[in-house]
Amino acid sequence: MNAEQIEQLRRRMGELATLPHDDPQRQALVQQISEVNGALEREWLELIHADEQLRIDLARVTPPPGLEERLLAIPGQAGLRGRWTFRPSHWLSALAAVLVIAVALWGLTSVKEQRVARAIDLVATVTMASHASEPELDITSSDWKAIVAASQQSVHYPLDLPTLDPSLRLTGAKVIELAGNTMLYTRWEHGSERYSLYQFCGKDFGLKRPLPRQELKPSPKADCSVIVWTENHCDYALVIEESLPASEPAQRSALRSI
Amino acid sequence: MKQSDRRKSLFESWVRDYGGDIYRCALRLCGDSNCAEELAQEVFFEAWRSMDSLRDSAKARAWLLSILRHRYMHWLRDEKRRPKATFNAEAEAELVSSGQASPAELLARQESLQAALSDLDDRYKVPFLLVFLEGMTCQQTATFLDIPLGTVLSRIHRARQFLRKHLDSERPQSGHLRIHPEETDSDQPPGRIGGAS
Repeated sequence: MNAEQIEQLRRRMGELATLPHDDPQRQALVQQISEVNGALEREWLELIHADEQLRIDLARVTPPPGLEERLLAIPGQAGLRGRWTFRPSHWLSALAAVLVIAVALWGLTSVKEQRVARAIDLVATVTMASHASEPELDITSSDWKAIVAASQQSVHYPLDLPTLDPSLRLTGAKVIELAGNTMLYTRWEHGSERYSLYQFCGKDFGLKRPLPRQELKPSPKADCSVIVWTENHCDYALVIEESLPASEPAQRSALRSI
Repeated sequence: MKQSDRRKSLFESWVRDYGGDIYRCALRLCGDSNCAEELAQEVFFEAWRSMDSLRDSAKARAWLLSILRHRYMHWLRDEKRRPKATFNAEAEAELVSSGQASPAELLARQESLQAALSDLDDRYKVPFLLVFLEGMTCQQTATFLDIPLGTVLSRIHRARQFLRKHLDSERPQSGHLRIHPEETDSDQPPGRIGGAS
């Protein structure tokens, strides 16, 4: 038997030593070892001895005192408290997860609110600019039905008249495009004052829910402001000039209580 | 006897018969006595929860070991912890007082053994412990791990070589014995590289 064969035999000794004594492969190996030389036989016995020593060393572990009692108590604890009892880190994980979700929801809500606020600002800005430019009317009429009949085909949402102070007088309308979206512009008058009402579709501006009634003013010194609101599923922006005479506080109040 | 009483009685018999084995194996796997107790509790908790799924109660020990193996893998993955070479000091004290070996000799041997085990890749450590510690046959281990018998024999042989090399050296140099992830069972020393098979 050459050196390479002996090395192979050594390898097989290492592998087959863990097989049961009555295993045919092991028995054949033992037979082969006995036929080679005494040195391999001694190696085999040392291997068996070393394995037994490893087994003894590995088993040299004493469970901590009270472990059995703690394990026996599991059914009672499991029934009362569930699996989370045993891993305080699980509670912390759950708490952390709840916090993360809460922060994420808060963040999401915050982002949505910011988006809504930006959209409303855009509506206010474009309607105020439009009001300042005094768009030329396509229809000159104080008859709302006539205005609807002439304009409804040009807009993709139903036209409807909001609740306005009865003292306001309708003078005409025009379908216009502001910020890329179609709006119905109607002009209203009260004495010498001019008001602009814009009906639009909130979804066009990314506003998917009824708009809370609010008044927007670009700056404290601005001479007009915009009231934005939703009424009967329609969205409106009313531009009001701030030069209403001091003698008409009631009128102003009525307008803003729309 | 009520069904719930029967369940509890069966569970208690498992704790008494196999609680020590599970703890011992857990300690050898993770190398830390606190972790080993935590793993043992998780194993028996899982066993209590799902004991109805065990059809043959004669296979309870193997079943508990399989739960331990899964819990250990979760432990490795979730906690990103590495086994540490610590062991039960009380057990050591008991052995020393029993006069089986000199205190220094036993302590050194246990420390070296656990340190070597901690550096041993789980692919080699798990079959090795199943055979050498839990007394499974190689064939049972092959079935348990769902790998060929030849692979079990080879891995155990290599695990044994690795441990002996560690134990024979005065200063274990685990860094030199580690293998790279791309290396396989074939001709490399089985240092720790990853999870159990």
